[in-house]
Amino acid sequence: MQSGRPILVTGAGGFIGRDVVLRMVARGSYVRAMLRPGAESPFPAHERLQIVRADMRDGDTLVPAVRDCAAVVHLAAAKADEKESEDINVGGARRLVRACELAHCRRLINISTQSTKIARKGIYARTKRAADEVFHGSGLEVTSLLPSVVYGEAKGGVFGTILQFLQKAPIVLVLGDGKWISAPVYVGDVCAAVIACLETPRTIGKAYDIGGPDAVSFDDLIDRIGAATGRCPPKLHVPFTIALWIARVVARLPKAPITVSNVLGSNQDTRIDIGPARREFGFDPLGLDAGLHIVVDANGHGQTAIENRPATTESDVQLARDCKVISLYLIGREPTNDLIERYCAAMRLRVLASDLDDAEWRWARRYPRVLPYLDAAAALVRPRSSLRQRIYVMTAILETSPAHAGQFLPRTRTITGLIAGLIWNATRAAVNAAIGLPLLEWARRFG
Amino acid sequence: MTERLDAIVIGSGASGVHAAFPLVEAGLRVVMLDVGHEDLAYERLIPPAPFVDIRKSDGNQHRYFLGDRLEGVSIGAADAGPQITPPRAYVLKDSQRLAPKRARSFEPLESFALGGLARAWGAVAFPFQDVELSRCGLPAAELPEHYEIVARRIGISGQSDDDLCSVRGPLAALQPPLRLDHNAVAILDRYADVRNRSLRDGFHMGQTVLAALSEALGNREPNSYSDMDFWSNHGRSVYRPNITLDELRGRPNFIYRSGFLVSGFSETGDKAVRVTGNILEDNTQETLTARSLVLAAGSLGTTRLVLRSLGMYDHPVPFACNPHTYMPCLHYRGLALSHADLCHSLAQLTIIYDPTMDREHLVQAQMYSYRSLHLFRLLKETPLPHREGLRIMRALAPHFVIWVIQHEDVPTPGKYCVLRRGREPADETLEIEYGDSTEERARREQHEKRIAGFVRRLGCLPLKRVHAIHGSSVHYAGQFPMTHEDQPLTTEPSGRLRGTRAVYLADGAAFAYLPAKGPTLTLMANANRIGVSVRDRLRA
Repeated sequence: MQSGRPILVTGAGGFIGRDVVLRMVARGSYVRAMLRPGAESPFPAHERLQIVRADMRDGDTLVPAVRDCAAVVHLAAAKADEKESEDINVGGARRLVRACELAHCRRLINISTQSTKIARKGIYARTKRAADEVFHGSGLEVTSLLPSVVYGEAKGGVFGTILQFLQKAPIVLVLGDGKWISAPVYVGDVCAAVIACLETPRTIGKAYDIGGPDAVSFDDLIDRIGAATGRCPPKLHVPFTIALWIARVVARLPKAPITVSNVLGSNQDTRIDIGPARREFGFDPLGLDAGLHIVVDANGHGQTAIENRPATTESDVQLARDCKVISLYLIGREPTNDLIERYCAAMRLRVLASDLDDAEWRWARRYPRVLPYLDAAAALVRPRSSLRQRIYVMTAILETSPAHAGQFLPRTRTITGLIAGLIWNATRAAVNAAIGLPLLEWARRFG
Repeated sequence: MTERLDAIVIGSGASGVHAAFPLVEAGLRVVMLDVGHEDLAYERLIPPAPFVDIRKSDGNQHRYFLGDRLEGVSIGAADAGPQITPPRAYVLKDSQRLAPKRARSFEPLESFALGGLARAWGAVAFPFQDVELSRCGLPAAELPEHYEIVARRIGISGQSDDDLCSVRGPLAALQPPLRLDHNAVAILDRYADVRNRSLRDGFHMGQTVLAALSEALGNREPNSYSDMDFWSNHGRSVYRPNITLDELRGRPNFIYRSGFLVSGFSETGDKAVRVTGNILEDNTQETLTARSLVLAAGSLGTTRLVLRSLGMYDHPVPFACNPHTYMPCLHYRGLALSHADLCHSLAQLTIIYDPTMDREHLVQAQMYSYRSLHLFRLLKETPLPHREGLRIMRALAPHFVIWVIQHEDVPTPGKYCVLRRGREPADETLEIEYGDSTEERARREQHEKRIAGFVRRLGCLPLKRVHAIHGSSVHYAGQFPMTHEDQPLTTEPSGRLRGTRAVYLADGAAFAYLPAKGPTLTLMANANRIGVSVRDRLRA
């Protein structure tokens, strides 16, 4: 069981941060997500989740953020070579250490980067390296993780940039010769590493490479993502020196699409050894193809799978349609608007409790008539599936509304009527399951 | 209250309020320290009406039946059991945050609520027999008097002349029994037919003795049979410790301080006990001093305080917890019966099984009718499609009964609690290991099969047996057993913790054994006895 004291996640609004927060909450941890003042919270309300506003540039805001926390997961960083990089990454590290000392919070997981190991460093790599030194020299109980390229459902990082190019641009610009080797790692595995380190005291004082099991060249990575999304525009390689020169020029633009650090980071190989992480805290990352399969929607629309995960991003229109389908199935009536709202709210709340494969539900959406068969089959073979849980939640909502209570409360029947009803319904359940089993299998394979 | 305190009582649960009662009654100056969570927001929404009427008319019912955050709709994750409904969720609030616990295959539940775990008590009130009291370490000769005092204070209803009387301690202060529901009436009738044979086989059955009123008591009303006892307590028919606390709070020599988390105690040279803790609101430390200290923080809370205050880290102490099993059954003999809507939802009937025929090692089972919970919960447990499942459940629900079987438990070397140091005092973790032996499990299995056979004889068809995760009975005991032998980390029969001058244990931590009967009534009676013993010492 986890301690009830919260774990502070800095940079919670970021690409990795968002995922770390949701997964830790889903695992039963109490999390305090640190967002910049004024930033909109990307999180649904949850009893184990607190939001705190603080700025790495302001030590006074960090102290209350750290107070009472059992540990800190440090993800906040300036990545785009902005002027404040030094202040945010290095100064921020010093302020965070001080805040931890004041708040008596000893444990810190520092998310660093593989770039800290390259010889020719840009601002990002240099400041992150300096930050690592601040943390490890602080006397706190620090573990550093050095991830390679991280990919996930949300758009962010190198992966998100590639994905955007692949979806829209006529050609993909590759900065450098495309031979740069990385070990792309699924964001969920990074989170698992963070959680495992928090639970493994022997990781204190150490730094670990975090990567996937497959080392691939940059060109190869682009091809694999292209294959998964179904769109492979031609690649154009920009020689390293020219890329660097371009990066220096565009750095003067207010919102630079590439930075010098990007170019430097994606052209110098690092030796990534995940052996220590495997041995010392059981790190077991997904292979690249398996990971991409999770991330990229199988429909080939190039939409990331988070769009299809329940709740965080399912639209109200979609959920309202679901609600009607389930209600018609259960009680033969369309639900009133307040019940639809209640269902939508419930699905938004519920996402944190589940990590679900949705293939059969997508199929049921397309063909609502098969819902009775799929439900009957899932009851036998996939009782905890998303499909069962959605219907279960709607059943609870219908049962607790006065308009429908009559269909749930007991009524007086003769013994013959009761037995006849039981036989009829049991037969129907069995027949529906018999029809549903092959349908369910079909939906899971091809849905 | 600037003069010196006579006693500090830690905790406002079943033990705390009854230990404080004799002290306050005697005019001594008493402070009760408690975290004291109480959140009645949901309960206030619940109209004082029968369950069926609420279902048909209250547009707000989803708020308290399901919870605003859907906390009443469990999606497969472990939950604390059906008795922790959303209106009662506050009973377990902050338990892990304020008191970190770690356990494998055990669910340690602890309460920081005003009234403690007994705010969600099933209200089964079962006086122990002498042999059971002695094995707990309690003086069997003294307890009957305190049972009567507590019974008059809290109000207990039940039969005074059925087959259960021979397997429980005496209790004179009984109100007439509550009305039984249709399942219970039919099962009891059936029992009358097979009674002689059943008694020969060691099965005693009767109406459950309940800490719920059938007649008014003070300003409390008799049970309204609205079948809402899992959700609300209108008229305060069912006893909860906050009822006694309200009485105590009317006295000028008693102070109740909530929002106070006690961290430890020490004894000072001038014959006083010093108690230190944190005021949770602003996290400031405060120290109080009194002539005596009564620990009633609940078995786990008291264990943490004692081990920490004595510096006994990494030192295992014994532990016991009643294992229990749910046995949902279809009462098939009752299928043709009509059912009334008005009933109470507490336990209706109790079976005592005496496998050794010497009344030494009893097994208990209680029957509940599955009514004021919802069908959707049942659906999740069945391999049926929701639509047809709903129709089947709806037809059968009035005839579903749940037998909850509870076993005795003795501390064995495999079961223990140990306090581990953390980096910070707040990180200290109470580790609980519940390693029951193969023989214990085999014996329980055998007893459960015999009980399943017996309920079949009564017209109930057992559908399955669900072994609840260890710990979910929330009956914990054994850490500092009460004994005459002078050994460290034990409790004297007077309740005083050995090695201390004026620190008393009034809760389950001092029980050396847990009979199969729920311990709550005995906890209260014993707490009253400890309160009297502290009172006499302070007066002397």
